[in-house]
Order: sequence, then C-alpha cells, then structure tokens
Amino acid sequence: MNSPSPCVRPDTVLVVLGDATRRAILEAVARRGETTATRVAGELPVSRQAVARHLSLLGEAGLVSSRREGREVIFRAHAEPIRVTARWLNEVAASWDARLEAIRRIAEDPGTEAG
Amino acid sequence: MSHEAPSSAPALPDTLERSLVIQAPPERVWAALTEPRHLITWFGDAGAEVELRPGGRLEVRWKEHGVALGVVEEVDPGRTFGFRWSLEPGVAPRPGNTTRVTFSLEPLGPDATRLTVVETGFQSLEGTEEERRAHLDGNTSGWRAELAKLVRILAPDAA
Repeated sequence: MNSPSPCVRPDTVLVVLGDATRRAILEAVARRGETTATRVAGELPVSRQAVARHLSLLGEAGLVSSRREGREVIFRAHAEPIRVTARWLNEVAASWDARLEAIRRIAEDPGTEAG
Repeated sequence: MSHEAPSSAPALPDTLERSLVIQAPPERVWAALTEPRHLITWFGDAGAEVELRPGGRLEVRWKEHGVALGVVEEVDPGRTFGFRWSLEPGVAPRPGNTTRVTFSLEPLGPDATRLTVVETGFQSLEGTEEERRAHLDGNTSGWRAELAKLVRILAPDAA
C-alpha cells in the first residue's frame, strides 16, 4: 500500500466509503494532510488496531497511501479515486438518459404494437 | 441555522434517478421496455436477454463493455420492472456486487406516460466476507452530508 492504486475500481471506492468509521478516518487524514494511525486513533473513538485495518482498506481503494519514516508509517489522503468514481456515476446516469430516450423513440413509433 | 445543506446532487450519490415523459400509453411503453425485439435495441448494443418473471435471468451484452448479468426481481406489467445486476462485467450477481434497477411507469393521461428509472445501492455494495461483516457494524444512514464534506476537502472540483 505504498502508492495509490493505478486502476481504481469505482465499486471498490464506493464499498470502502460505505462505512462511517472509514469516512471519519479518511476525513481525519485529509484534514491533517499527513498523519499516523496512532494520531488518528487519538482523535476518534476507534482503537489504533481498528484504525490500521480501516487505513489498509482505504489504501486498497487508493484513497490513502503510506510511507515509512523511521519507526512511523505516515498516511496521506488522495482525491483521485473520488473523482474517478464521481465521473463513473455521471457516466452511469448519462447511459440511463440515453436508454430512456431510446425507449421513448420506440414507444412513440407508430409501428410499435402494444402488448 | 440547523437546516440541512441544500440538496444539490451529491458527488457520490447512492441512488441515480432519471425520468422522462413519453407520448404513448403505458402499454406501449411497457412493450418498448420489455419485449425482446425492443430490448436488444435500447439495452446493450450486442444483445440482451431477459426472462420476464421474478427470479428470471437477465443478460445484457455490449460490444465494448462485456456482459452484465442480473436477476429479475419485479414484474408488474404496465407498471414496474425491477432487477438486480452485477457491476462486475461477466460476474454473476451476488449480494456484494449488485445494484437494484427499477423502471416505473406512471400514466399521465390517455396518451402520455412518465417513465422513471432508479438505480440504487451504489453505497451498499459489499466486497469480501470480512467487508460484509464490517459493514453490518457501520452506520450507513445519513452519510451523504458527511461524504459531501469529505469531497469538499479532498476533491473540491468533483463536488
């Protein structure tokens, strides 16, 4: 989990962000710029072990990356997976618009028989 | 000021909803929506098969995006067509990888129908077994405001 995943899957991002504790942890990391699991655990009612586990999942989605500095592991947050996922959801919405429009054309075509 | 932030579309919504008015009665819209010869034209550019009964199989094929597999859940002719489908191309639907799609037809007069499609569950996807267990402990309600805040911090241009 050293660098953000190069190919982020929107469904992975949504799953990972679907947990309130993980969102709180991600926000804590984002606010600090860089921080450690211990510091995050100090800010939230979550054990250090649990924070580390959530940071690992956030890392799998590319939402945080980590680097070692002496004895500490430093985490930072990344926005790219959120942008990718937002764009993907926009594409999903656009494809529904296109499908509804196609259904409209078929239904309004006088040649379409009902039932 | 304790009211909620204006409900502008969140960057990462759990639900997508789209709707339009069609100048045709619901029966014709239903035919366009569900008949095999029409399905292959609006749903998937390389074909689509739908068994139109609860539990029936749904398969949508695209030239470039592979195959989406799903299960029909609701068939109320002229009114509602609902299914669950997998977000993972070629992978069978399972509790962790599906969203639910519902088409609703609402008659607006003798010759007009509002057709609405809702795709929901983008934030209740669950990954591995461990993820699923972890998920049960998580509070998933009211997370849009939180997420909006998060997006503002992390990705202001996506908000």
